[in-house]
Amino acid sequence: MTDSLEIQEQSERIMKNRVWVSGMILIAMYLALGGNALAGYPHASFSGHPDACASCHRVHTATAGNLIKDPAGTSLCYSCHWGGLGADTDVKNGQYVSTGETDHSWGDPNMPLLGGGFAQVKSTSTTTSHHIMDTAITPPGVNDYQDPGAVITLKCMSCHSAHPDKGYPNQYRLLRVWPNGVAKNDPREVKWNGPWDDATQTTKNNPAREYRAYSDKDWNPDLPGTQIYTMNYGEGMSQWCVSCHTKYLTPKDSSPYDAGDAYGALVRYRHHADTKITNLTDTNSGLAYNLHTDLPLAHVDDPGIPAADRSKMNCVTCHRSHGTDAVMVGEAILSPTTRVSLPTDSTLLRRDNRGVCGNCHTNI
Amino acid sequence: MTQTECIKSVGDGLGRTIFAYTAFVLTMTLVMVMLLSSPVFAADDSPHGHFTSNTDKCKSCHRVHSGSTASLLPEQSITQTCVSCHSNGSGADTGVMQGAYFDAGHPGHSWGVNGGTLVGGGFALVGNSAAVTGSHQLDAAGKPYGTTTGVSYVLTCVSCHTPHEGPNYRLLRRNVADSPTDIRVTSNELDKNYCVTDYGAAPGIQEYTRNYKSGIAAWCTACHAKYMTRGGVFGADVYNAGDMYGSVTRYRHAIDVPITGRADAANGIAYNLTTNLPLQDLTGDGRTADDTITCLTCHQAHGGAAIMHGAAILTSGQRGALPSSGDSTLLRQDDRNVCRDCHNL
Repeated sequence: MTDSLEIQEQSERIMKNRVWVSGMILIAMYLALGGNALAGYPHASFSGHPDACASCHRVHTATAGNLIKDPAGTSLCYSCHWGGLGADTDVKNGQYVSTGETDHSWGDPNMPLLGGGFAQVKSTSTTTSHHIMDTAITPPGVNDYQDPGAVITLKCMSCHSAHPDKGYPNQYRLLRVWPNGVAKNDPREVKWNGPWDDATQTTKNNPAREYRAYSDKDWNPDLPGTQIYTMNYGEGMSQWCVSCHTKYLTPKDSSPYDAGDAYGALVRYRHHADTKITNLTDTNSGLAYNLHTDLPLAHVDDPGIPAADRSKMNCVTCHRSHGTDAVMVGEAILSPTTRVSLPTDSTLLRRDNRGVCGNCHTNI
Repeated sequence: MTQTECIKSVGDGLGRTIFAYTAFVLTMTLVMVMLLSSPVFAADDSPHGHFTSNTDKCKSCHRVHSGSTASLLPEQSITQTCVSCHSNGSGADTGVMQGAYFDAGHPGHSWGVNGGTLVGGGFALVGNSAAVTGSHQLDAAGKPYGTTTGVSYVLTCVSCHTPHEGPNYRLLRRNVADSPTDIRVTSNELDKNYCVTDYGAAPGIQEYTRNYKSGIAAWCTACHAKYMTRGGVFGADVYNAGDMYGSVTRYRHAIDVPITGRADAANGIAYNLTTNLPLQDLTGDGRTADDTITCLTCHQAHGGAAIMHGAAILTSGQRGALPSSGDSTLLRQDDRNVCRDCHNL
């Protein structure tokens, strides 16, 4: 009887030890594989013990406003967003890099970033145009009624907030909600869609940040796929861009405007933005027609909106936001007498020459 | 009863009455004398002040003819003299080496939980268990971070505390770091409160938030002089902080400001912050909107056991002469959780 009790007690001890060891292993696996998945993400969603604050801030020895550690504007961001030093998104070289995270797949390593890059688009290409950083510039299409001749010295934080702006935790790509000093009652909210679901052919409208498509793979015509990129943007992107390029959402000026070219102050006409590309009507012939494109469109994932109206072109349908390697030849290069003060480069277009035009208007 | 017996009985009664009256008067006088002349902290049994005329407390720290070091101290150093009491409950309740409260058997007060963690942390351990990862270094020469004079100090206990009575909370020196400025540090404490149990992560009474009333940031910056200067747009401040950037304009976190009623300068949005960390309570009315962040909101005065990971560990290229790898710089919580606790991003 005594032996039996001892054996039972020993068995219980062994079982307790096994349970304890198993529990510790499970806890260790949780911590290693995902329990602290965003612990190193320095922009939001901090875990209980955030070390990431120290990525950018110094409380007592900062060298720039907002307690930033690095004295130069863009170099702080490049300290992570360049060469795989910390972030997956190498915005200087314009490519997605793998920094070894196993908890997410937000792009394809070595593929171009959707927004291109400031120095290169992929490491082998040379950027032919980019938003010029740390230099005072006048944005093309700058408004002539709000701040004539506005000069802006662009920095990363001219467009992006390091942390989500207050009240807008799900703003796409951490874009500033009030860029270029727009009025507080006119927030430029940019909505975005969750992951594309092959089964239902819809996006999972899930702004919980677990899905981010950073690389070109899914819209690149050389790599036909599900074009998830076209579903990235919801609404608001064009409204956001025209915070600086204020004229570009106006199809026809109400008063003459000097666009900086050879024609001076005239009423100007512009391509529509934030418009659907299907179920269109030719204003001259009255004929209905549809367009098709491989380029990225904004997609409103709302069953309440007719399917044909859910996808719309916007600014980033044709342009990359950071920089491009598109090459301009022939007529695509404006002559000096024509362009006057307009850019001489590829103006951030996604495709060579005017390939972005031909991609939609295929019958021309 | 005869007359003689009657007179004797009355006399005995009168005698007892007189005796009882006399005893009462003497007792009350003695009580009055004790109440009026005994030290306030009589129950404290403290060697730091409120001495009686025939006190035995001098001998706790001094030897008139056989001192081992200056000020007639009995031990080989100031630190050793202090920790001869302030360690492991060997005299004082506050075991500053172990960072723990030891109820040394003093009846009549409750200034902490036996074994509880001291609010200031410890120099070797915190809570008598966790190893310190960053502390004020005792008996070692070093320059305070953020110094303006470049003067190197050898810190001892009496660099910060006076062993005898003073007007400042926690016996903090009035002229710390030999500053000519008399800096006053005041408290809201009604009774002493040495442990952190009341401000822990779990919501509670947070009595600790009432500890400091005013002056502690000014006091800390008597050594860490730069840390009260915000720099940048608040006034040019070119300074070599000892890191990789050399002499450049520096910016620092605001101190002695409320954490409510803030404004986002970039977007012009007003907002309020909240925190479980200790704040300075200027009006002594508990956790209210006018409470201010101070040095001890983020840091423990003696030493902390917070663990640094990832970016919280400055690389050798970044830190220069700043604290070495893994040093927690006395932060109250792991990594930069003290940042997140207010800036709940």
